[in-house]
Amino acid sequence: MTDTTPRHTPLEDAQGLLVSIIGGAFGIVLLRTAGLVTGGTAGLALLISYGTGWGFGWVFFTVNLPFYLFAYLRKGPVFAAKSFLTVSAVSWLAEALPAWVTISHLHPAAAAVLFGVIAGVGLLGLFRHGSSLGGVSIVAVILQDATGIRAGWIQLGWDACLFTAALFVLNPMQVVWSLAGAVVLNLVIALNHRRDWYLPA
Amino acid sequence: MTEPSRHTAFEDAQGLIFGTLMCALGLQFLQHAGFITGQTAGLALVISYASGWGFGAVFFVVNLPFYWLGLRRIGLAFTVKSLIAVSLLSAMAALMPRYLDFSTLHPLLAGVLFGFTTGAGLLAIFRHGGSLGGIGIVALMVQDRTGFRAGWLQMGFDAVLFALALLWIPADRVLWSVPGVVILNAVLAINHRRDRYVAT
Repeated sequence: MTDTTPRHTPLEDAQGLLVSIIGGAFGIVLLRTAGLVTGGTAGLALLISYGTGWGFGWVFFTVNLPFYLFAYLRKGPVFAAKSFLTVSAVSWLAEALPAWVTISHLHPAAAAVLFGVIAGVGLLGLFRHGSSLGGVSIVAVILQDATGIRAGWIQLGWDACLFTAALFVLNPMQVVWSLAGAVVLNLVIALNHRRDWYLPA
Repeated sequence: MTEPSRHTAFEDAQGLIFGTLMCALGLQFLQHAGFITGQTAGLALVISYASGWGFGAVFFVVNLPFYWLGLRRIGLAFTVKSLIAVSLLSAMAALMPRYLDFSTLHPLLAGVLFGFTTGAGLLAIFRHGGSLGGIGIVALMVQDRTGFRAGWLQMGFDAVLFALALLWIPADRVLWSVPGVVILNAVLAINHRRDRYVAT
């Protein structure tokens, strides 16, 4: 069987990544305005940022550094380079955006739902254009190969630890709204990230 | 070659809800900056700014004549989905200011954020077999028949609308509205392709 998978041109990939980066960064602005967290390395970076007062951008950039080695080993140089570019751009833009837009009024429910939708669409764009926002999933897959513990459980365990830690930093309602946002985000991806629907690699 | 998969009703519902939410968020950026856009949404915004009536109600009414065209030329499912999407957006646009407001918003960023959020939102609505009414119906009809991209055709309508808007809206607001509309239509022109996103 010959490979008939359509491919994105570099320009198409660039616009896909750009739209997704802006979506991801604006999603982070919504979370920070309402004081919410999320899962993955972005959630860890938000939590560290709230706890220490350090800017989210640098923390997110730093937290993801070890991940590129695993991404390179497991998925190759293109995926690792795109992920590095994406994480760096979101780190920078999440810090730069507040100079251009300030939100005066934001209900935590709106923050959760709008974050879930806009970051979900952003992540969908990243995945479809062969990138990621760094993270835990690849490490989890490698750990599964090494130890036999299922990657899904490792990821769930990570997020469970993260949200438990969040209870010590945020008030309980903020943790509840954060969970709602994470559910919306993961619904968008679970329902829509399908290789049989969107063909190009 | 297997048959392209079909969306279930639930999958279409989430696509239309997420799509209209993105579009409603895009409109918040636009209205805060006092900008317009193209299509029937742009027409509704111009009427809303000029008359003081709320955008949601005007948008709903402006689209009413187009359902007849959609029903005759494209079909029942498309028309019903378009009616649902337009109604959802009208309601969300009216409600969202209660939950979200900006104190500062740079005009260029307003355009960029509007273009990307609404572009992604419309893409989702199109891929799930709906539209935001009006010009989209005509443009999609033309793309399906001639292959001429809907994105480019919509840009022609927008050029006329922007020229007319200068009669009621300050020239700098109209000019600052251009980047957002260009980005929105570029997102659609590049990404709305039946050969790539094959589910219907």
